[in-house]
Amino acid sequence: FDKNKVQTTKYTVLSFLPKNLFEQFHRFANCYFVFIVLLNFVPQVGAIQPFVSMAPVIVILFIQAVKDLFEDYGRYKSDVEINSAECFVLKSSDDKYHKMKWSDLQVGDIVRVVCNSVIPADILLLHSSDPDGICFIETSNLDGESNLKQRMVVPKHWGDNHEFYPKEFKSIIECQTPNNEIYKFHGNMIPANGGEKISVNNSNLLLRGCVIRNTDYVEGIVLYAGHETKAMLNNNGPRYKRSKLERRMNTDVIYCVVLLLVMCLIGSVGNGIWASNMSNIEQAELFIPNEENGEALNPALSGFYMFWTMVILLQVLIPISLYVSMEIVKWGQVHMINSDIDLYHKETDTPIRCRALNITEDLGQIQYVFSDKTGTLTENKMIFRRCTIGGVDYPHAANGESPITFLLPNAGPPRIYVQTLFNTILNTYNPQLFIQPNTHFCNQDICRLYLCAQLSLFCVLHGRLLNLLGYVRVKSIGISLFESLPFTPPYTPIITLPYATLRHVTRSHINLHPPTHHQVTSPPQYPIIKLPHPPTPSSLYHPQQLSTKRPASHHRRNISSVSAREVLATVAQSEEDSTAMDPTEIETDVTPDPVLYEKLISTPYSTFACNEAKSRPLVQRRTNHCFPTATTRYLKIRYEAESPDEAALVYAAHAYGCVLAHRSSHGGKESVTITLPDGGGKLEFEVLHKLPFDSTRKRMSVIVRDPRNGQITLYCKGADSAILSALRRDQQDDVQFDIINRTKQYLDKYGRVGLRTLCISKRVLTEAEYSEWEQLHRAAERDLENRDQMMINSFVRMEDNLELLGATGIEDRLQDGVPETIEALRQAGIQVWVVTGDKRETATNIGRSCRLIHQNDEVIELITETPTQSNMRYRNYWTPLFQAKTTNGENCRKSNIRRQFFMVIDGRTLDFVLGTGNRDQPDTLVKEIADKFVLLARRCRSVLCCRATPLQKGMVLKLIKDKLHVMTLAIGDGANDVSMIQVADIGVGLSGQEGMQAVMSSDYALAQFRFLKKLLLVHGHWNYARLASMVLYFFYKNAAFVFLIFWFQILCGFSGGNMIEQSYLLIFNLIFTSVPPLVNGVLDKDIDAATLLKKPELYMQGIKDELYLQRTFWINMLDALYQSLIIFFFLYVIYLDTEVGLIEWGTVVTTAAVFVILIHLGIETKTWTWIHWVCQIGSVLVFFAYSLIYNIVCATCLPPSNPYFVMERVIQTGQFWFSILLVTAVALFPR
Amino acid sequence: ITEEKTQKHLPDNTAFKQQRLPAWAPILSAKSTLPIFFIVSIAFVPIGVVLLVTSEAVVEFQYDYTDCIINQSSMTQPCTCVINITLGTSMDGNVYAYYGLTNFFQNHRRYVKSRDDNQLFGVHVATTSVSTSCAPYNLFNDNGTIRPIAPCGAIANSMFNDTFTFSQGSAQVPIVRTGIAWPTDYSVKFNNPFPTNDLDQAFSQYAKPSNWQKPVQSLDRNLSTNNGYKNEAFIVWMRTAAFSHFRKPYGILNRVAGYTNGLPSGQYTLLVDYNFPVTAFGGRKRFILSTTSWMGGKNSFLGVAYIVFGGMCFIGGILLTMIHLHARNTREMSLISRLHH
Repeated sequence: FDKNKVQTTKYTVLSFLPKNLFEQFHRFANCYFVFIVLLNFVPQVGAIQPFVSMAPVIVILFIQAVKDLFEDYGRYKSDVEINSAECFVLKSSDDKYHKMKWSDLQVGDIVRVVCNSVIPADILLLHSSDPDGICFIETSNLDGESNLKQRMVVPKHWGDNHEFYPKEFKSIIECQTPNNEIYKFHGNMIPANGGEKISVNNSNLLLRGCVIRNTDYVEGIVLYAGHETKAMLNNNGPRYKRSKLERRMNTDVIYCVVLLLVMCLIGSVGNGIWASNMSNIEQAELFIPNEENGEALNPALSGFYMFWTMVILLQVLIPISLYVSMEIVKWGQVHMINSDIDLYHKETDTPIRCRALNITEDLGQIQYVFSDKTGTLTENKMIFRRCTIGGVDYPHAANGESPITFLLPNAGPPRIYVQTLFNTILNTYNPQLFIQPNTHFCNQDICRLYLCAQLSLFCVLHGRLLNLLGYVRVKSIGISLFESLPFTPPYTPIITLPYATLRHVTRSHINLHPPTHHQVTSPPQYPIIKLPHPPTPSSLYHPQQLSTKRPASHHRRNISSVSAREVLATVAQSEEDSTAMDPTEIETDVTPDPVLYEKLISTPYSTFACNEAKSRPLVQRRTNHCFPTATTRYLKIRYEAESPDEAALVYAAHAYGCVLAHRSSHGGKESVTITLPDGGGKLEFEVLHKLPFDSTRKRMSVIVRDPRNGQITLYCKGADSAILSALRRDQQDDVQFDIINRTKQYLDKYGRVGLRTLCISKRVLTEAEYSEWEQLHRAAERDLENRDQMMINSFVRMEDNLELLGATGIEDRLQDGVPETIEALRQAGIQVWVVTGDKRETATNIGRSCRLIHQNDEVIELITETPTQSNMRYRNYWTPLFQAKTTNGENCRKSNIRRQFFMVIDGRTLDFVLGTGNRDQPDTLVKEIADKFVLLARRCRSVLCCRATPLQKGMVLKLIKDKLHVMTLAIGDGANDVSMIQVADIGVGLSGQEGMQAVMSSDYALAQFRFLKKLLLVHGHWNYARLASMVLYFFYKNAAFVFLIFWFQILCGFSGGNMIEQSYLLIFNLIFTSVPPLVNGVLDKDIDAATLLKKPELYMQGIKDELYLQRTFWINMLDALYQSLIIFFFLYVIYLDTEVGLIEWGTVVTTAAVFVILIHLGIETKTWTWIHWVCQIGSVLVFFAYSLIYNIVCATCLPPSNPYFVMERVIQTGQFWFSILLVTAVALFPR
Repeated sequence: ITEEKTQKHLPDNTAFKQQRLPAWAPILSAKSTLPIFFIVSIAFVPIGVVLLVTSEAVVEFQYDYTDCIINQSSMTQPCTCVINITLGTSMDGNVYAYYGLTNFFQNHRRYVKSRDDNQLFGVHVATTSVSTSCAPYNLFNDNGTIRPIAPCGAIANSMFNDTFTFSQGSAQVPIVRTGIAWPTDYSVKFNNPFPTNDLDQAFSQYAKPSNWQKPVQSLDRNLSTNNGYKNEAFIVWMRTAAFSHFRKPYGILNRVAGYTNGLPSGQYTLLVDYNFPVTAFGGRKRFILSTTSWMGGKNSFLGVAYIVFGGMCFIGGILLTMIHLHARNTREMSLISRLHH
């Protein structure tokens, strides 16, 4: 077995040279170069000294090698860091764990990994500090999932003895050969004492790279180490994306190749003709040297040789240096983007990160933006806004904003008296109360009180009803007292509810419930019962004490807005509170009616329980102690939750005083402790089962046993559709029916204001039901073949006959600048699609609020209910376009067609479009639907896909990309966007709330959606413009230079002769004219940033490819042709019939070319900074310096051209300077 | 402190990194382009005039003597012809004698490379080490002994070997054949092999190029120092011409008594030792006498081109100004800038 040492570097010191060369020769460009060099070695063909011609190849190889070396060095450093990380390894000598470097770890070692440290190798879990033998790992390093996963100790490997003695551990473990399947592992453990084989699987394996969480330490044996670990086997290199411009460029390179071949062919034919003319002449050998055997060369053969000679001579036409230059330029552009301060997010200290280096210019050509909603358009900071319980809506003002109250106009008289009561109160109070901010406190408090009260109505603790009664009584008194409050605005309507009515109401409500509930109305262990009187009437009488509620609510706000990240349990009072409250006020504040802050609604509770191991106060769990109840309200607790919604729910519960205090599991039993506020005590619920979330069910459940009455209840939380479809169907109960009805209406309303909704339901189980189900479930668990399916079936079986409790609405606020950004992208000609998993109403609403949908847009809704053989009736929308067959089973609403459309399509309908929904759907139909969809979508201003699964997101994008051949950008923040991000031409990840998966798979990582605007409109435009002009310039430059040599062939009998000194020929591109275009490529700005932001329409240039068309390419080539003609023939005429030498004249030509080409770039340059000046002038100086120095140092080098003292002589002549001036001016004049 | 700590990823706010470097953005509008037209024309026309005048001041005399002997067969068999020349104007200052060749492709690739710079640098080359680029003019089979050719290669082999004797009446015009090569070539690039004071010995192991009448050490019988590789006519020949129509300096008028001011006008006789065959490949050869200016020889193209270009700029400028003035009323300057960029 290998050691655990990991080496990700490609090269070692020794292997670098050969290996790197090998790698480099895999590139086409380098092969071409080498081919040319080799061609030069053929004596008949060679145009240039072979060793000279190697120079540029070597330089380019060297540059690339240095680049590779740097990259590799980075890997080497990280390797060293990883390899020298330390872990604890058991030494058999003294049976103790010693620190050891990761690299020294070997297969078979027993290691101990402590909490929050990274697992060094693939380890079979043998022991855990957790008495139940479980541990939690976070696998985000591996698969990007940030939730915790549970792993179990290999069952019973130590026999009945519960202690683990590593020294005595002598078993043989059989396992698979190393493979890269993260989720699959099988093996057997054969105890040394010849016991039974114990099968081990994935759930016992801790993978390298994962992090241990919430477990003090674990011990295990190393199974795979180093490169054999699954993490390393899965470690693939980064993707290589090729930009659109690059693709176009490649076609132009092919044109260049064709051009080159044509030129070579002309040369070769010309040579053949010329040679055959000459061969008729006796004395031709005067200047056509014969072959070595003294024979004249056969014209045909000569022509053939000539072809290859021309290839060598004109090789520069293929802009090989372009590839290197582009890499450098892109690197520079990326650097510029990275250091843009406008794309830096102060709050989170995240600058933009470009992860893909080679698609910077694609940013300027985006036509479609596919955006996730949650976390991308919105902040993904969930705030609990309101809930409906038992059909009544309760707002929750978390941020001091006035909540809007929904009134159900058509609701009719509610059947539940309690509801009548509360509605009366709310409805009467709200309109006025919510207007005036200074009345908030009372209003909020009232709402909150009632909310809590109501929550407790249906919450787990049915026994609380009695307390509720007490509470309501108290409150009713309080309400009546508003009248006497001096600062109460005069218009505050006062409702005095007769105490008796209330009592009646509550009683009657209680009576609705089965008598069994009444039996437990006053068990002694409930502290609440004893104190039904605080927020005592007396305290409420006092205005200033009422006012203390305000800071208190502030405080709650603080708590609820704490981000759900790392565990933090510090006794920290917010500054606001400490200044606003004196001790007595705190006193009053902490002693309201416990019922008031009563028991956690079932929402957070079930959330909590469902998210096993996902949301919990970690510190508490580790240290195994709870918060003192009295101080709970002043603790900032950070809950860690799988999704922000859940965190929001838990925080909301916390704000009402129900604190999730502790989660534990002893002896296979898991329990959750909830602290009730202010001496309310703790309740420990036994968690019997957790039915985790999955995307097919779209819900999750927990089965708990109430500690007080031992009742088994299933609480289920999930998407509204998922819950509503699983409700009790034999709905005889009017009350339930009413609740469902009203809840549905509220859900609809919540959705319209953009709230994310969750439904909560419960099911009371009898012991018999439960045990029956449990047995079946166990069986399902045991089933090996189709365990997954069985499990789901089992879950579905349990999650049935639910009783709706209520629903929650959670607000997800829009990020800053989202509407503006979308508006700007729109104006820039980019189609923005929103692809979200949210429900239609919510999504549409967000769409409206971020100006995706305009007021007068026509909304096309494609929502088909019945999947089978349903073809979409796009005809309805686009009759002239689609002569489609009308089909049934479809539910499109048709409206008058006006100019602007907005399409909404839901996940199920998308299934038909994508052909994923139904296997029976014939391919042709899918294609037809897809075509229509695309056609329709094209006509729409924007498209919103709701209820889309992660896979669908990617597929929609792919569909559009394939059908329309457009440039797409996908932006998202969560794991569900990964497929989309990967499919898109450019994937942008937001480093947001939902972990790093999106970022890891993205090309660009942003902190906020609004940064997209500058990234695309400014950087995208710039980079596109820069690169386009640079590429064109390179083509032009090389062509102009090569044409010069080509024209010379006419004069030298198509002999492949070359007037330009060899070294100039080779380094002309490399040195004389390389730096200014690179500088331009990184720094030039055709339009300044402010204008680009102000006028997004300018972005259209990129979309329409205006800067790099086929036409522009040819225009550039013509330009090159013209300039080369001017340079060549002007100088030809000027120097004709003089004593000028070949190389001398070539030097003049080269100088003219340098000037023309550089000044050409100067004209192209839009903005001149000092860097441009330095580079331009520097390039000219470098040329002269090079030629002067080179021409003076060597008298015999580089035969045959041997330019000794040529430049020195040339620059002394007036003819030279005046020719250059003339030629430059004439050549560039058309520009 | 906290500011720094929390913002450690904050990019540097420098002008360079934020791409806010002060920049000059030339905008091509009528206002900026029109002056360019006039400036160019104002600058170029006078330059052209000056150049043209300079060029016209150069006195040049050419005589194509290709056909003076028609049935001339090879370089090795000399014959002479006599040409009478009348100089209409006197040639003042330095007077250069050139020979001009046409249709002689000294720029042919295989011709150009057929030389050995090392050999010419003065390095003795052995039979085995003579440059292959000279092939097939690198080795000479002298009755079984193979000897390297000095100087090797096609260029040397095809060296122009007509000689001109220029005389006025009975007196020979003093034309010296030194001072025509580049001083650097003469002093650095071309060196005789050891021993340099005894060229016969130095070249004893080499064979002469097959087309040559004399070996390299006795190219100039009049001036012993002008022999071997350091023969200036040879050096001039070895600098291959750029085009197939070229001239090369033959000699310089030695401005001694009678010719101190140059070559006076009058009757002259040119006696040509006709060796170099050109008719075979359809070439022509000329004898040229010319004075020089600071701009080199006679070439009116440059001056004319300057004047024409300057003139075109001027006309273009005027036209565009008119268009511009016309367009300003309707569409402002956009048209102009587009027209010219």
